[in-house]
Amino acid sequence: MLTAAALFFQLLIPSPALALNLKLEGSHTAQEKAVASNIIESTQAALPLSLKNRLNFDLTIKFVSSTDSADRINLGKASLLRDTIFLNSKFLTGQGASFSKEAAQKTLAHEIAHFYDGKNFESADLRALRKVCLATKNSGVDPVCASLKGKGLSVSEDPEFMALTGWESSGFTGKNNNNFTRRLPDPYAVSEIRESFPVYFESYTFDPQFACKLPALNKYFNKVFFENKTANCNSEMTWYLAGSENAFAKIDRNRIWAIDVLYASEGSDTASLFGHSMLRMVICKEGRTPGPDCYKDFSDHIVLSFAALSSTGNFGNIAGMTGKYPLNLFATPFLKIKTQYNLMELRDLYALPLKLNNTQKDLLIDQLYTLHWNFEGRYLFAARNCTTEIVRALTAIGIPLTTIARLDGSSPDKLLRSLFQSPLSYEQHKSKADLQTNKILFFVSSQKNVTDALTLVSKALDDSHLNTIEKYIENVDANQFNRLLSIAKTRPPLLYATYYMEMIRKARIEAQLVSKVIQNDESRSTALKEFQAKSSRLNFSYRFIGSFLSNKSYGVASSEEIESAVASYTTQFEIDKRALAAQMKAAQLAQTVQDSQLAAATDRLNKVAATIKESKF
Amino acid sequence: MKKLVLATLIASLPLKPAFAACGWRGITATVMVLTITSAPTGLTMLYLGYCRDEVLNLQEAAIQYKMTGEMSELLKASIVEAKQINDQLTEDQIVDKFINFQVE
Repeated sequence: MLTAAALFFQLLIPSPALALNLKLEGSHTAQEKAVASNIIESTQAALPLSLKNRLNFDLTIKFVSSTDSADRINLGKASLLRDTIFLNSKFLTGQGASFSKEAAQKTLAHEIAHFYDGKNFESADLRALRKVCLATKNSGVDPVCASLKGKGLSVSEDPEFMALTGWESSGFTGKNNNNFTRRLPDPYAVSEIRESFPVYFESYTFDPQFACKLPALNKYFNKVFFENKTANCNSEMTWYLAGSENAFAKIDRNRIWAIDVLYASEGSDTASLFGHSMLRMVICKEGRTPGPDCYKDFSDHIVLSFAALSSTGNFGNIAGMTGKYPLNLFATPFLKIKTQYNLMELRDLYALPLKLNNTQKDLLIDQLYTLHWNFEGRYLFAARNCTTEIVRALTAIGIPLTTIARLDGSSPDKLLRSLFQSPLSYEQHKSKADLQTNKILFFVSSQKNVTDALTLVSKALDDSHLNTIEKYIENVDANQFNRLLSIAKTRPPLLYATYYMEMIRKARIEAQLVSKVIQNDESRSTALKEFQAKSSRLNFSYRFIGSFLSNKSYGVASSEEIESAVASYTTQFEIDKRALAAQMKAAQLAQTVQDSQLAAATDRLNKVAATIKESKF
Repeated sequence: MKKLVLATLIASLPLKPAFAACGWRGITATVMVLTITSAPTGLTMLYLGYCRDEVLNLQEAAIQYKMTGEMSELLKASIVEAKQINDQLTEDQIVDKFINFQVE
């Protein structure tokens, strides 16, 4: 029997010429040698050929004594200066899951990935980007150019990889941040940027389901390593529509025809001064063959929005600038978004179709779906917001980085303008004016209807002062109303304008009454405040469906995991919904308000409705 | 203020039994709408029913059409769908239904 001390063994693993050679070094028993060889051979066989060819040198593998701790740092270490990988000798015993053969293979692949990373290989796309960044002196091209400053790692510091895995380069401090920390293959991936690629590479190499769990990252690695790893993944996607009656939309990904950037024009409050950027998935209704007509299936479209939410419903500027609010990717039915912006906030919506090839479109869908279920970042007013995250998502899908670098993610409006100038928009969509002429891409605010109605009414009554809702309510008394109705009988547009204005008038009277009732009733007022506070807290707690997923796996959840999350959500939500309903009932908020003024307003509205009914235009 | 007007306008929509499934609740909805912030989620929205956005957007589109003659794609597509459900209705009748379900 040979003793370990008596042996000095060097094993050359056979491999093609001009390719990576893994050499085992050290004193081992025959059994240890066999185990070591098996680990090394099987790992090398699993590595991408292009990686082995590019790492064209001898790499020494040494198994050394270390602590029994299974902390990542104790499993293996790469010495780039000595071309040596040190692996924990416990791997030779194979005892326990932490030191199994699979763990050893992953550790070895991880350390080899450090060598690949350390070579700082650069793609042609990156070299082209460097020229653009130098030529433009970073004007309007951060943060992609910023990530090139001091780049020293092939993959970990590649802007596309960073965008895929949630890394953010800080041009000022030189420190990279990542708050994409949920459901990772190993939390070590976000411990520091140089550990990121090696951790993901382990799973890419050895997890046969990697293509389904992190599809966009899988495709990126396939591109980098000239591989074609695939898996048989479920094409059905489950999107969580927070706040909707049917909270889960099951969509076959093949129904997604296109993706638009959806821009909401600036609003009147501080938070919406710069507009809002979102993405719209143009989903075909069931049974329709995917094609341009899917743009007409408005009820099926889903809008994705990176947004922050607070547990109180209020937002503080300082808190918004210091990362106090979570940032998630919300999914909302398009018509609900249209109601919110067009009708309630009186803001226009512009949809700009992204000019993507099928691969880019698939990658974007994959990346957004992954983010929807797994991403919970911190909102930062200037650095991580609705616009920066859209640019990051676009950076992650293989669009030439020279195109990405020219996008301006500093505000929603600037992003839209830079998209107009970029190859990511179609020739017929190069300005807001272009979109405004297109009925499936531009959705005007309800302010236009109000203005049109007031114009018709003021002309009919020959009163140029009737140019606001307030003036209509104040000046169009019973006599004026009867006069208006009598003129409108033979003028359909005017009749409908009158109906519209009377509807608004009644609604306003109703709103004032409700406010008055609540103000004059202390118990109701208190109950309403409690109700609002409870609603805000619940909105907050149900914002992110990923919180119902376990962290046992990583990336996109399997069908079973999603079913389990939906079941947990539904159980909890039904309890909270009942409690909220009871609170509303206790506050008597549902009691009908009776008032003569309201009755009169209803009567006026009914008169217009009756006139419409009687009219035979 | 405009936001409030529009919000309450939404709440005051009269609905026929055909849309009872939407769960509209008159004044309740008014109060609930008043509680809604611009937050992207809204548990309170649940009580307004899931037909709400379809109804509201169609109503706006229908009024726009009747006032100006401009027919939006949403309205056009909805008319086509409505005709598939009931081919006896004329385009004008359908549009009237979208505007006010009391106008028949």
